[in-house]
Amino acid sequence: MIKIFFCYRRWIVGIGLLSIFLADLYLSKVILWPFQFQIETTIFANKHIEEAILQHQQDALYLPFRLRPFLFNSLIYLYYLLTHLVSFLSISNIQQMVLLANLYPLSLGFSRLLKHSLSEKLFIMGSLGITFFWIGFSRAIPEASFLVIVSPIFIYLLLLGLGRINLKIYLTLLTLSLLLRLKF
Amino acid sequence: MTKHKITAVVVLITVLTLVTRLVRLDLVPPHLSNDEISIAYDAYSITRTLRDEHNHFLPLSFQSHGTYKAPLTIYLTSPLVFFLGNNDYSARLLSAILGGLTVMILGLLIYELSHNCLLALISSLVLSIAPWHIYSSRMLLESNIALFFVVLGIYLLFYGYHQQKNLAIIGSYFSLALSIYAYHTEWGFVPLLILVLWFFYRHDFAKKPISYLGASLFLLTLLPLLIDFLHNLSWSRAGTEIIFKDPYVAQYLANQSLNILQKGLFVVNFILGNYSKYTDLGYMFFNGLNLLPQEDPFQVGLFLAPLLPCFIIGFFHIKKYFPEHTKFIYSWVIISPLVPALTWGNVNNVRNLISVIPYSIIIAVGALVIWSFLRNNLFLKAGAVCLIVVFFVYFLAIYYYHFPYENGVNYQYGYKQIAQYIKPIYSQFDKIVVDPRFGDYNMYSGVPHLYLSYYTNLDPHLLLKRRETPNSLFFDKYEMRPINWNWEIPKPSYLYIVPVSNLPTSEKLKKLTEINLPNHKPAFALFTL
Repeated sequence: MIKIFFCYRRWIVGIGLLSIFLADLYLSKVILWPFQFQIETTIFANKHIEEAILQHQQDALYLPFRLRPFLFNSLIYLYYLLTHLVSFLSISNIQQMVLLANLYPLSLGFSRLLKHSLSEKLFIMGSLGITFFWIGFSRAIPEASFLVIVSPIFIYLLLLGLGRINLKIYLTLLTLSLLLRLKF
Repeated sequence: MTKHKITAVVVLITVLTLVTRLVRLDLVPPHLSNDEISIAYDAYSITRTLRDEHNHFLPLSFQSHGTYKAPLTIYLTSPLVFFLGNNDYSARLLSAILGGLTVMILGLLIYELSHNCLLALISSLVLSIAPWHIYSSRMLLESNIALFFVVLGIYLLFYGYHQQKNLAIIGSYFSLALSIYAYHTEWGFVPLLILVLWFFYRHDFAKKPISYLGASLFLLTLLPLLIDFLHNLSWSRAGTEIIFKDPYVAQYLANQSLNILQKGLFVVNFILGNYSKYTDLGYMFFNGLNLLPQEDPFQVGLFLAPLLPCFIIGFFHIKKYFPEHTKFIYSWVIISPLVPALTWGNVNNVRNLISVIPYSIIIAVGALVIWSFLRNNLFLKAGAVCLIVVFFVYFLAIYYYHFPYENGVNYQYGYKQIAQYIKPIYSQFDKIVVDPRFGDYNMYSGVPHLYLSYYTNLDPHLLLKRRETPNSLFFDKYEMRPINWNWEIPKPSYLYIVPVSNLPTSEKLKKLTEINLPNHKPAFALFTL
């Protein structure tokens, strides 16, 4: 069925991605229904950033004053967003989300996905990209976005990868990962 | 690539490496750090007395301030201090030179492994502009010295086997053994690396009797260190930094109600947590270098941020460029952060420096894949290069200006300036009383005795004759002790050196001078009657 879905024309993928974009906005509570923008849930609410921009502009005596905004400006929000996003994808978080053992079929699934049609790749990667963007954009990690949007994609990639795994290695890793998740 | 192009790129990398590692070496970082001054002073003391600060004759483990430093860096720094004098350049030059050589040797190693000249050049370039390696090469860090010997050892090993040079194979094992004499991470890392090498290349190694001779030489070279370690097991560095010393872990393991499986899983989980921190991409590419205060968003990563896609792509393309060495490269990547993850405390870039090499290789592979993918799209290629250049310039601005400007206190800034001030007027005083506390609210306690002795060229024999109490240290004219102005009775021809957070209450004392931090905030003041 999934295959059939991906055979549709690319504009369907576009609509799908737009829906995910909007879903992410509401799930991460950046916008409350119907259209209430909640800036305090985003990284823009971090006052340290504005202060740091001004502080560095004042300190950068090696540059003429007019040139300082070129080096220290609001683009730092993008950098901060990427920092936030990339830090989210740490081994600890992956262990919490999908278990370390599942990284093995997940990466195999991902490599299999690369051989699929462009529409499918676009949809999967686009959905992940958009969701991760909102994860980076939000001050706290929006768990609902992750659960509703990322989990099904991860399950799909896992299923793609499971067909090619070495079962002995996978079961060993799975046992170890489950043991590590035990809380005493 | 034509010969001319290769030469041009090699010249560019060499110039870039030398400039980034040598320019303003005495000013950035702003001051010799706690560890640097300890190494520099011990090197100075060894040249004059053959003893360290604590009166140990030619030790194999330098007590320092309880951190028990590995010996090689100190012994290699001694001749530089002897010939160039007691200054920042003589202390930091060894690390800068070996750091620069590491960049070159990495290129040779990659060429030896892949026979791809472009990949070798990109690897060297990646390491040359890596903020992590620039930062480490500009400080007298034992880990940077050890890194050089590890890379040299691996290069000589492959060169020796590929070119049938027995001397190179012997040299490689000797170099790997020296790396263990240089830093404690290598105690765990190098034996693991050798095991990995023997496992993946066992057929090649077993064919050559020289392999066994090399391995024997490796063990023989380490024998003195091993004997010293066993002799001083209770206070060695390995015994103080291991994860079991973490108060949280120690408390958990001491819990009698838990069984061995629970304790084992807890420790594995703790190590995995540490490993995760050391391999966090945010830490590696965005904010790991800690040049600025933690909450500052203008942080810099261990590598330049635009190289993150290269790292991700490179990770999946190792096989393409290292078909015969894929497993070795992946193993190198995996084992590098393992030893730092076994230690306690916060994420430590110095302990983890060994990872800079495999990460640079992966980034170089990714960069080459992207470069090949872009083919003749000059616009995109130029855009990618511009982005990297912009981030590199931004790093240079942060590193050369904002980092020393904001981090004076962390480097105990001021003691060198105090030493330079008192050196010409030293004879005018009978006693010099130094309050070793510094920072806001006197929150830190420094090692002024090392800074003042090193920068004033004090005869090391005088420090050997020191007297110590738990809070105080007395040698020559110096008294290092916390000053309480309610009890202190100032005397004529006494010089008082105090942090600005502990200024004298009596108006009788006259301020001689004030020492300011790079950000112009006052740090210390000197008083006399």
